[in-house]
Amino acid sequence: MELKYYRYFAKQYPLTVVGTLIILIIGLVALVAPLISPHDPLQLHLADRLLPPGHTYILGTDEMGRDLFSRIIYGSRLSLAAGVGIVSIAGIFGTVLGSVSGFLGGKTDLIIMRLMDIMLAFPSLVLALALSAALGPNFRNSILAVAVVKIPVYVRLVRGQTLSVKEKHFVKAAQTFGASKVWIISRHIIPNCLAPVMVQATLGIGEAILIAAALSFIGLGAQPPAAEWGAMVSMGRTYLLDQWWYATFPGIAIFITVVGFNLFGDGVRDLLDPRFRH
Amino acid sequence: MSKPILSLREVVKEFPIRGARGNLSFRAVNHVSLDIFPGETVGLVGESGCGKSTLGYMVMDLQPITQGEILFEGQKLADASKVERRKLQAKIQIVFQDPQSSLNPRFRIGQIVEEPLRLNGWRDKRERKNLVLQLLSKVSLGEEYLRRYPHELSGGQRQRVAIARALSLNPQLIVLDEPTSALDVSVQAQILNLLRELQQNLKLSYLFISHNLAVIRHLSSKVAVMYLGQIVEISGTDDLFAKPLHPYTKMLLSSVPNLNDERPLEVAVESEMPSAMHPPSGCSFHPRCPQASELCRQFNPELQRVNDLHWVSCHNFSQKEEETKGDA
Repeated sequence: MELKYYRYFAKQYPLTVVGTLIILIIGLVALVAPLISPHDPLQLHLADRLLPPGHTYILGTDEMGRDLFSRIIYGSRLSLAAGVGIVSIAGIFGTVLGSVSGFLGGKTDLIIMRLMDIMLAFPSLVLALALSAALGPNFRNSILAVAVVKIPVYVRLVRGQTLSVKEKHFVKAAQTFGASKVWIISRHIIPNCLAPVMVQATLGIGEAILIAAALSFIGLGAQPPAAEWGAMVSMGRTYLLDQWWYATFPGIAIFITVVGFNLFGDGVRDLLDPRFRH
Repeated sequence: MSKPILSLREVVKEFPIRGARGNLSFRAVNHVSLDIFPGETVGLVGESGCGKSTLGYMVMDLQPITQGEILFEGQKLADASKVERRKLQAKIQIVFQDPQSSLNPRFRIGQIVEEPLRLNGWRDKRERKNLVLQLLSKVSLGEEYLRRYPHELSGGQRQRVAIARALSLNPQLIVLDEPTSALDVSVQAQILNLLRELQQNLKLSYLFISHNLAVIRHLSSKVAVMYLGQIVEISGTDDLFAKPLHPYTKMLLSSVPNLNDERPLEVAVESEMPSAMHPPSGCSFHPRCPQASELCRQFNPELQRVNDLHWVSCHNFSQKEEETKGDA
């Protein structure tokens, strides 16, 4: 029965299946990185600098003679951590702020929402750049910066949901039993707002990875010698004309990962769309 | 009779009109007074938008009162301290119209019925579970429902759960806000019988809000007819159905199709209810009333006594009384 359902789903949404497979593979690679990478990603082989893809170094080496393939494998850990970390932080804070804003209304709502409007008025990359520069350029701060920038998206989403959920009679019923605002928000409002948040979060992972990589690319994220895809593309850019593989392979890794998450996110959205249910 | 369990005294509810210049507001409930005695069911009928649900919400403290007062067992709710008020309020519970909306879809049935207990000081988990089982059995639901979700239940079963939850704090009064309107006719009867049974066993009072006259008649001992925020007629059920005095009541009664009764509509249903935003002058019913006179257009009639249980607010009433006297 279950299997039949999955098979039907795969036929109906082949791209979602592709996305899911990509994510699963990348996740697995990140998990077993030390077991499958042929070299130490940080080990310098100064005699083997900038070698093209070949036998010993499958995808070639960088200007310090580090194995690119191993570095890309380890890079998946950082990118996944960045993507999941960013949407988790933004999602959690956004959900709390949005539900409080929507449920309490009045001045609280006004203040929170105007703050979010101010944040939304900046292009997200510019704001993330400024925040990350202000916090000090390292990988953790760049994740925090992007997460903060992404919060308004979730606040708006959850606030809208809250406005409709709070009119439901089960909220009124809880009030008649003397439930506190914290109780109502945490038990009644938030659990009933989560479906669209999950969709937004899965759709947002790809973009979050991209922004985190962009910050690393301009030197505000992961610092050398960390094996981060964005930083690797940035370094490889200098050698692009003569050593094309250096910037290209990390770039392809970013591309595949982001596409995987976007396909998966689209699938989740279709799955949770009430019109999909038969 | 004993003392009323719930009294409304000249209760007024005004909603401010947003975007209006000055302090414009409209009256959803206009000087309503009503007594509910222990063990009694008071039916509240009226068209949608007449303020009957708002009245129920005010009793439940879900809407603040603009004017007037609500007394529970002789005690003013507005005067009670927060703690006292919680205690008083626990004795009044509500069952909403649509059980789809009144049960949190993310809660299991057990959690739904348990919630009021948790919020009102039942700390012991096992004790709570036993109570929940007892409550479910009162509404004829077995233990197997504890772990189900609302969407796994039928409409009637869901309404039973809502009733079980309302019973959890041993209330004395339950506000029933159209509890059967969202249900199939066959299920309606079951729920009504259940409510009647519970009333007898638990000595409950009901404030039964509905637009369905047949249902009101089935359950109520006293009926109040509301029109545009005012009670226009209030009477014992049998009396009201046998001898309606207010033209609006007559209109409502004659609009109920009846298979056994072939008499034509005495009073045709005329036009729509006017907007509460722009209430008519004088008697609010006069634009639809076949007997409206100049007096009705200018002055709002007060409730007049017909007998101890029967009151009506209509300028034309005393004349009619004379007519019936003349006939006798």
